[in-house]
Amino acid sequence: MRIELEGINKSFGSNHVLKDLGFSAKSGKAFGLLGRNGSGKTTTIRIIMGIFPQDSGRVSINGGNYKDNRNTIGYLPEERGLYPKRVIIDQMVYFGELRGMKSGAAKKRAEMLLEKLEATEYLNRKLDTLSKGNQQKIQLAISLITDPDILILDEPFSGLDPVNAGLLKSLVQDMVTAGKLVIFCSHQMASVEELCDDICIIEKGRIVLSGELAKIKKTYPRNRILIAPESTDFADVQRRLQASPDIRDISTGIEIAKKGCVITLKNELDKLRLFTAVNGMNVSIDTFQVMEPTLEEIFIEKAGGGNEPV
Amino acid sequence: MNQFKTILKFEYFGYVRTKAFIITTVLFFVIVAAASSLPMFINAFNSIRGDADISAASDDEPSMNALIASPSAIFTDEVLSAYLPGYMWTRADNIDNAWEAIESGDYDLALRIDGLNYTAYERTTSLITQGSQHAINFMIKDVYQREFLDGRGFAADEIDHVLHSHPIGEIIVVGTDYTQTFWIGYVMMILMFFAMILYGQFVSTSVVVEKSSKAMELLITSAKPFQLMMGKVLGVGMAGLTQFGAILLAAFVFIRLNQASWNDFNPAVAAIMEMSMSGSLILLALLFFLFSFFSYAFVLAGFACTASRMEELQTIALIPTLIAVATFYVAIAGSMMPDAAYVKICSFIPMLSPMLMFMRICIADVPIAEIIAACAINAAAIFAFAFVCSRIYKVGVMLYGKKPRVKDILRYAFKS
Repeated sequence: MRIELEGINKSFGSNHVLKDLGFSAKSGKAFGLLGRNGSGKTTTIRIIMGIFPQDSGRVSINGGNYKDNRNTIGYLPEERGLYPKRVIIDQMVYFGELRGMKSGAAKKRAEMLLEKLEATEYLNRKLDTLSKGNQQKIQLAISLITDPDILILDEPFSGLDPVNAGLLKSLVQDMVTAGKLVIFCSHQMASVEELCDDICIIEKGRIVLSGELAKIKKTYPRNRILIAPESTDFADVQRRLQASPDIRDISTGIEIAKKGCVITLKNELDKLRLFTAVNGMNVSIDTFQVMEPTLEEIFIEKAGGGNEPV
Repeated sequence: MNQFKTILKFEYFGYVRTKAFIITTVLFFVIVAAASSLPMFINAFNSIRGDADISAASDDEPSMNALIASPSAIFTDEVLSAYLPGYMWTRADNIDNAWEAIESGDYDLALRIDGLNYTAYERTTSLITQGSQHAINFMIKDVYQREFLDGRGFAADEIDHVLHSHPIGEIIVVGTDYTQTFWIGYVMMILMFFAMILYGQFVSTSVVVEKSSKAMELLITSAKPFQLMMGKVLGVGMAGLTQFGAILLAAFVFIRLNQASWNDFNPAVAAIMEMSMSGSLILLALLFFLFSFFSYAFVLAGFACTASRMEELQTIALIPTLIAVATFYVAIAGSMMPDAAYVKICSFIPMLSPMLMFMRICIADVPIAEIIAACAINAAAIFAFAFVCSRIYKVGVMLYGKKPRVKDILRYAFKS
């Protein structure tokens, strides 16, 4: 399975929302579609789902369009909701039937999914009797009712407690392992970083960064070194590191982090000089580690640290 | 087609299985059944009251006081009591102070008769008690005619024969009996109007619930908007009509069961029940009823698609409701002049057509070609309404949280 977008443009009145957008995502991977609020992520997904058409450009799913592949895509929209006064199993079977399943098969699949999501007890309850988080689990189960090859999740973690977020993550990992494609839209960078192989960052309707997350990280300077001392008095270690003329000479700053002190080097090639200097200071250390940039840092750099919260 | 059936089934059973639906249907059934059996209850109540009361009532002792001023001696106490029973008569030279006399409660009626002219003051407490004019007219006319004929030497039995001979016969209608079908048209018009107003809201509420619960986005990625809209309106509409059918069935069955009691209690209702409808008229009644209901339901659903919350629905539904009311009034006016040009034109305009065409069929000779044309126009209109409605429904996803503007709705609906 492969989704490809090429030269997508979309305007709402005078507002040009997507500008020549293009990316591709394929099976066996989790793909993160990232961007600030209003950057065009949901519009992109709605175009993929055929909710409204693009003004120009092409969307293809395995070479065909969305309508030909409707039943192979599971979708959890950002604006989500179901019928509050209807019994959950009826709603799940209904959506299964709408997507071409037989009633009996849809019921079996619904029961299996609810068991997997630890929600079997809600099978015969009305939706509005459930908490918001549990309602979200039901919506997730509905997006999986046809056992889709592609799963598109728009802000899937919003409203989920850590336990349910963990359930969702393991479900996504299972899908990826099973060779399926999962596309994420989320603001929760830590979760995306944990799950996604490929990412695409959109800013004001344009792609500002896309590719394999591991490779992207490698393109960033690796000039931040974590020094985790045996002692827990990180402030004392920071003072001693700052006092060293050798370290002052090669670094731009020393900060206290969760696990120790982080030294930012002027030149990433000075790692050995730093190691020698630290050794000479008689500071006993547990860890000397070159730090990779986090997805959040990459995101802030690419999507801009403007006024809007990310 | 499978999707359409799935949607129809889901929407239909979604309504008819709810407690509220079952309770209101049973409640309406019982109320209508009881109302349809009303004459039987009244008869039973009267028989319990017993003969004593009835005989007391039938003594008919005068209980009101009346004043009479007339230069003619014909209006004797016997004559007055015969024509206007229930009054104790007092004679006077004039009734100049009648107003005060009646207002003070001394008298209930004051009557001055001068030849064929008369003036009467009457105490009244309600519309029911205000009914002496007919009796006074009859008395003066009858007494005048008798006196006139008596003066020309006619015997009393001859006078009775002349004045009270009534022709007895019947007119056998060749063709449609429009006096019968007029009432069928009238009853159908009322049923169509009630079905539109009562059950149209089932459809609009269902659309708004779907929008406000935000299930729409998932739905339109699972099924085609046209099928969604057709399935929803037909499914919910059928649920409404199921309840309506149960109510009509209760009325029909229980009035039929109490036919004899209705003959005594209200002959007009009994007469309507005794009317016979031809098979073709039944078919046309059903067809135009469905046209009327579903054209209105689709228009209402289209308007409901522009509402994001239930509170907005009442304002938004005002326009289609006014259309339904206007249609009803045009149809009432049209029933008086079925051949008027405006009635003929309106009987081909979607939404107005079902009521007006059926009314025309019931009270005039309508060429079969016109009936077929009206049916085709209505079917096409329902299809067109469903299409436009489904476009607006799909656009609804883009209008979450925004106040709908007609310009935006139309732009998105026909662009998407």
